[in-house]
Amino acid sequence: MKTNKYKIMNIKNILGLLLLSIIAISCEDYLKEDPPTFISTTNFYKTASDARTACDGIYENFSDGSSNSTYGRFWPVIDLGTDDVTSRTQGNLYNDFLTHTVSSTNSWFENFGQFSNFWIGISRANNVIAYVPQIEMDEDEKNSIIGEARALRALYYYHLVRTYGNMPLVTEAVSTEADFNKPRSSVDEIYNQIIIPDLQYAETVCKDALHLGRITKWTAKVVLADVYLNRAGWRRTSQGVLVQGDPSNWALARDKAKEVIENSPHDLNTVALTNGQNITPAYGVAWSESSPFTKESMFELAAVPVEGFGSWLSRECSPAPFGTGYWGRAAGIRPFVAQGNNDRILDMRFPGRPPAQGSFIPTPDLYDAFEDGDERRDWSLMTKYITSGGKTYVSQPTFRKYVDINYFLGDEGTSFRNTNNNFIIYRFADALLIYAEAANEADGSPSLDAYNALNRIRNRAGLANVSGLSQDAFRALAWNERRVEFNAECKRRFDLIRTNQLVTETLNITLTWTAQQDSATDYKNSFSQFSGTQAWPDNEWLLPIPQSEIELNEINGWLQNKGY
Amino acid sequence: MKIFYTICLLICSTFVFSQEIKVTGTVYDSEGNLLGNTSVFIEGTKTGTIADFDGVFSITVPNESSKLVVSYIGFVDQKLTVGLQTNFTIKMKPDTQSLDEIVVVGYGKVKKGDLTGAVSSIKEKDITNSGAVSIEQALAGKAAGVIVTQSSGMPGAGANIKIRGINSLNGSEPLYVVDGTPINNSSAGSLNSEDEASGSISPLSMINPADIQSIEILKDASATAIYGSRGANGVILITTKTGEIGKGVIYIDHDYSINQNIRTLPVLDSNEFWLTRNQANLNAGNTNLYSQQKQDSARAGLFRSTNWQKAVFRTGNTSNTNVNFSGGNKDIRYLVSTNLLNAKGIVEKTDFTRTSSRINLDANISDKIKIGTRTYYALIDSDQQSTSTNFTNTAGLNSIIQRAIRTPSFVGLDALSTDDGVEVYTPTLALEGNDFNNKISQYLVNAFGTYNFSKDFEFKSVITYQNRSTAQRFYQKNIFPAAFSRRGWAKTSDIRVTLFTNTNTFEFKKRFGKHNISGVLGQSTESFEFEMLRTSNHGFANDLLTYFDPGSATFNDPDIVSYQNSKLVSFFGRVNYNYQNKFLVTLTGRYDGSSRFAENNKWAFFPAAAVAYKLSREKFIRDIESISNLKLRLSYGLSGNQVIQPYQSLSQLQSDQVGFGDGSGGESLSTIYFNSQLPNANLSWETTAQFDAGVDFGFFNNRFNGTFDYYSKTTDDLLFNNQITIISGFRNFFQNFGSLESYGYELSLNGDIISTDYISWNLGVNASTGKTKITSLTFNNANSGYNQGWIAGGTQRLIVGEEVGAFFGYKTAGIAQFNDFVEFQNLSRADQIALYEADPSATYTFVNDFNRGLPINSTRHQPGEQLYNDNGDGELNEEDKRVIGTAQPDISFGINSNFTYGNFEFGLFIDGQLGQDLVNVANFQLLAFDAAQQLNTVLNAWTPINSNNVYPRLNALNSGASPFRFSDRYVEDASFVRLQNVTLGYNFGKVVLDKLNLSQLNVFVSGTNLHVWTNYSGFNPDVSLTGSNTLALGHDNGGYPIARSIRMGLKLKF
Repeated sequence: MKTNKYKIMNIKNILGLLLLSIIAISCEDYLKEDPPTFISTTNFYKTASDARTACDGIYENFSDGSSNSTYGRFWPVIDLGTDDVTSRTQGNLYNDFLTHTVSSTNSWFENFGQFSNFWIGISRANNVIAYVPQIEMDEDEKNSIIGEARALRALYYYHLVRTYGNMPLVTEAVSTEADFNKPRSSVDEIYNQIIIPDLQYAETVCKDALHLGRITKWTAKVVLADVYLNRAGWRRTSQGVLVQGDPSNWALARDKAKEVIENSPHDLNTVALTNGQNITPAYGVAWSESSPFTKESMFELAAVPVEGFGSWLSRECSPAPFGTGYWGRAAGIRPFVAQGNNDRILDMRFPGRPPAQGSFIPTPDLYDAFEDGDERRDWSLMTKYITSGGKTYVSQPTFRKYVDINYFLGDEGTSFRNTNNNFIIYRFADALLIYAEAANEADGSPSLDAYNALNRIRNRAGLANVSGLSQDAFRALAWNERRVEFNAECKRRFDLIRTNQLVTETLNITLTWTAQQDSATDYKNSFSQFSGTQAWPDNEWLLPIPQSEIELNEINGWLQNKGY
Repeated sequence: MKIFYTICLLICSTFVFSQEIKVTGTVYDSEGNLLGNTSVFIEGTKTGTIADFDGVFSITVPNESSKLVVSYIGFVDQKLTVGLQTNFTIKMKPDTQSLDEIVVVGYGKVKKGDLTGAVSSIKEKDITNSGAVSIEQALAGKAAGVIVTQSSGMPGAGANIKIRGINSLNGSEPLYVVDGTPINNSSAGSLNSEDEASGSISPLSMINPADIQSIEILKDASATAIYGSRGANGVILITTKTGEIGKGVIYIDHDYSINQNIRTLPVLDSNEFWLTRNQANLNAGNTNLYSQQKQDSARAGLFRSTNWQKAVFRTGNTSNTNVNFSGGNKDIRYLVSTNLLNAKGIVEKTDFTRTSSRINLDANISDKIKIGTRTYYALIDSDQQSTSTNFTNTAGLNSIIQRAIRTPSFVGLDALSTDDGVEVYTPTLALEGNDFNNKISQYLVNAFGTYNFSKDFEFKSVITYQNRSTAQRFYQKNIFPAAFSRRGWAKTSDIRVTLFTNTNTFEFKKRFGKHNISGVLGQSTESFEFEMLRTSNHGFANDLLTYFDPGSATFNDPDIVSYQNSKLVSFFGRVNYNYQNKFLVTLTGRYDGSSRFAENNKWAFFPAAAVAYKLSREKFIRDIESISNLKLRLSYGLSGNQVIQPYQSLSQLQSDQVGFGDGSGGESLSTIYFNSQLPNANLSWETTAQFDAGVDFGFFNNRFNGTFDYYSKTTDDLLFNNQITIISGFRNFFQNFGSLESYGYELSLNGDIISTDYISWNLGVNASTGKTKITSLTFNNANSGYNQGWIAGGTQRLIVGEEVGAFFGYKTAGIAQFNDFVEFQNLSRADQIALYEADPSATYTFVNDFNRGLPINSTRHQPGEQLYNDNGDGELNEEDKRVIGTAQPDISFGINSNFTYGNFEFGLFIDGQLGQDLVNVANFQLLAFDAAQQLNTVLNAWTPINSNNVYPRLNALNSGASPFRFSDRYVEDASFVRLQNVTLGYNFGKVVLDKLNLSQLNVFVSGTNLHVWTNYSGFNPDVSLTGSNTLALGHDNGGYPIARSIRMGLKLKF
């Protein structure tokens, strides 16, 4: 009896186990992950739309509208300590750049992504370059997209090598660890294997059109001209050696710039914008919030006034929303009495009250670099603003290009997190000034075309033609013309390196605003520890690789740039 | 020893059946649970039987005068005379010196004496005594090896529980199992993504502690391996109460408590503020100094001050009522309970209301079939404020407590603020401006049926579903200063979490002579789903319709819809082998398949084995009268961890938008896609191997008993979202890599020091050690810890050979003094002071062989500046950082004392953690020695006259990110001993009870968190800013303080 019962139970046991194994067979399907909320590489890169949206993704890393955005917030740090840009902000990451105490742990790299942003961009570009060719779509459109991706990859690398020196060569889409564990390659290798061929590819396949935010063949050409210009000049290597470029690049730069000047649909803006009593000179029109992507613009980043897509530069650039420091500390001062304005300084502050961040503010040294009568000066270094209705607001000197004036004016719905001021990285003016400088070097003396290029820039700013200069005098003028024309465009530091003036031009920087510079009282930024008299140290020609990256790439044999 | 003989007799006896009188009966324990496997024999004979799983027995006795003896280990023998009665309900009373009791383990129960693994039990009374809203707090100090870290004192906030150290870098929370089924314990989350994890409501707070019968904590691999892939962090089993056979019982308790903040931080008053600020500016060389008149006024104390902490803290109160009906007969047992809890937190506008009901039902359909349910519904309504954030850019949403300690006392009183750059909003404005409500409802339903094939073989099937819906509503009024304002801001979030589980088990047992085998075989499937919808809109014309009118907002942030699901399929089993009740062996295994891992790595097997040897059963020990129990245990096994988000092994693309020109003079946003995750085809479990050796002992009939355990654990293949080089285009890569190692000792002792009918005193002590170290990583020094955005690499590092939670930073080395500088040599003290005061911002040259340390940079070569240890290269850089503290405690302990004297009872509970360090994040700013609002400690700053070597001079340049150095100044010893609870109760005697027709009446007064002995300078020493995140242990950012509460209540039983 007992034994029988156990047999029955054993059978039940076996049945039970069978049941379990049946359940097990269907398990694999049950456990398969099929997420509805995101797309995977395997089902993407199939259509023309996939190619376009993936390509557009590469642009994001220049200006992603986040609080760590490059051209939307942090990149202007690159010019801190040059004769153009200083900082009001006391004691934070900015002052390390001014006092030349930059370290590899500075939060500019480590927390705010001014190294990583470029690499994320390169990675996205490599994906597009790897996966888009297999898509069945219009061939011209496909090639144009690949061209854009390669030009963007070149641009990201171009930022990296000028800032950080030797960089690893990554040209494949990353899928395994081996794809990204790489040693640092020399700057020359990066130029010759990536930057120059990528831009040469882009200039042949990208669209022949005016620029609307995406790379055109003309964008590629102007960047390439700029690359050649840099290749002709000086730089310091990661080992700290000062090297001079190959002078054969002058001719390359000249010719490439000439192509743009002669054949592109781009031109300078030459008509001022008048809105009631508010007048934007022709020079400033490219930055007007009401006219993005003018014909002058050749690589412009669109800031859209929506949180996450706007620029933070309006917050960063403003030293104080009112001008008491600049126009005089005594609250009773009335600066425009002669013009019939009896408001006190405190009553003339911008109603938007931008926070007094002042991360990037112009030096009086830059003010002095402008010739008298240069329209660019009073517009670029904004100290007052007259509205269309004639109301005057004053501020301490502020880079106008960084300001979304609607936010400063306190328009409903504006916020420092989403200001609308576009950053323009390349303009038609680049082609003109590259041409002028490169031609002067390549030809041994300024040609007529070189004068023409330079004078187009000067005339637009309300300045007279120049003529009859020696090669040296022309060079000096061209350099200064670049300085004032490209103020606040993040070109100064690289120009000073390229022309080997980084030490000489930054050794004695005027920092006190005086009556000669339209200041009511002598006014100096009292927050900064920057004296304007420090010699630029050799190590800071390049910035350090972020400490975490040095550690993560120890296995790849990375060494820190010399001096850090 | 009587019990032992009884058992032996029973085991050896043969069953002889006669035909005279058939007697049946059901055996219950004192709490009304059916007590299976009881032995029943006829007194004076060898004839007997064993009751089945449900305590039902049937025996035939020779005549009416026969006497039955019912016995069970851990209970006093019950004797009864048959008489004319043929059906008995027998209630067993626990042996007061209980040698053994029933302990819940994974998928079953076991006699405590037969345990082979390390399991701690916490009983009902210890759970409700603390008066905590959520059960986690009640566990603090209650069991050896269990460390509870309070995240926040907000009513309903969770606590972080670690069992035997840290097993994972990716979350080390134990698995919670309620009435046999694992539940989802993912945090309800905070609406404000800026809030740290500590600021959110714990799902466990939805469980009414008064419903809990017992909590078992499974610690070693033998106990946890049956939970396989989720057992590595230990398992907490929660068993709820059920109805008892007998007359219906109505039980009511009510208590009311008053809750207060224990301490406020001493911050500067207005006058001190203006003076320190002025001094800081002067020392920095700033020119914007205050007028002599203002300084004189400040010195004379003329400026008024507001104590902002007073403004945000209040006296809270909690009212808690339980009404509970239970009863039943042989065929049906029921328990219906309802709880109403209403807690007002000690921070203004924070409260927590819980309404919950439970129906626990057990019914016998037939001899073979039993069914039952555990049905629970809870509704939470909780108002919150931001209490854990500290981001200055967060519009109007800084932590309200941070805001209270950081807002200068003059703000809002004098029109001095904006021109001095102190533009802030006050805490009271923030309180007025922010409304944040959470409504959470949770069903936890468990329905089961069993089929009894025979008394040795039973099938059980359980389905459980858990559904939690969270509705969060936030509105910020348009009353903030422009810089902090979004001009009216509405956010909503709706979250649905469901977990469906089906478990099927076969339980069996069989005895072959001296061999006794029992066990369980089972299979389960689990399916988890998460769905969330969030909206955020800002810029409202008025504050009238708030989140009900999103369409009128001028800015609409993109809605966020997220979805996740994951599945788990498992097969598991356990076999217990018992030889002569002397040798015990347990073999456990679970085979788990989880959807979360890579395609070919979804399955893993987790085996464990344990042996126990009851030495006290051996003759040579048995003869020693004083030793009543001595058992040696050994176990080894594997358990796993799968706590990663779903989809981590897959390549992912993410979408966003970028602006371009639209070709007609404007701009528009275009959609973009980009790769956001590197795929990992090798992603799989992390596995913890654990060895445990323990001894259980009892003396003098177990009046004094205890347990001592040693364990060691190794976790391999750590699941970790590893930081990788950005050259890859990705910041992180989810990988299995690295190993952790922990070992420690656990001791618990319990004794009835006095045990008479009138006076009794029970004392329990537990203590444990155990720390987790990193033994391998693919690379050293992955960043961890806390980073507000400016501490390169964070406050902690993961370093091979160091503990998890090692703080990493600079070591302070005193303060630079006059004599350290060339310029001050050979001057009189007065001349030194004169030279310094001529220009406090001037820099000097350190003397030639100066080696006491370095200031942060060359602009600080000044007397009074903080020095840091330097490795000798003359530069203060990364190389100078080192381990400056550890977040894990050296030892944690609890002391529990219960004293009764007649009808009075007096309980005392103390817990403590010693040797752990805590980073006081709030002090990054409160002790910056700059020009902002700070602790009044800065009044001790270095001055030429008070040239101390501890605190640096005030310097306005200390503000901000760049001068900040994460140093040991912010790492504090957070050892503490806490008088956790004192309870005085009175049980009314029989006379009163009879008069009132009650069976129990108890009144009590109780104090919780009465005193904390600690040197920690913040509100609370056992706090975790980032919740259970093991990568950032030991941080406090002015967390919500834990209240001291005084509670009064009464308990009635009809």
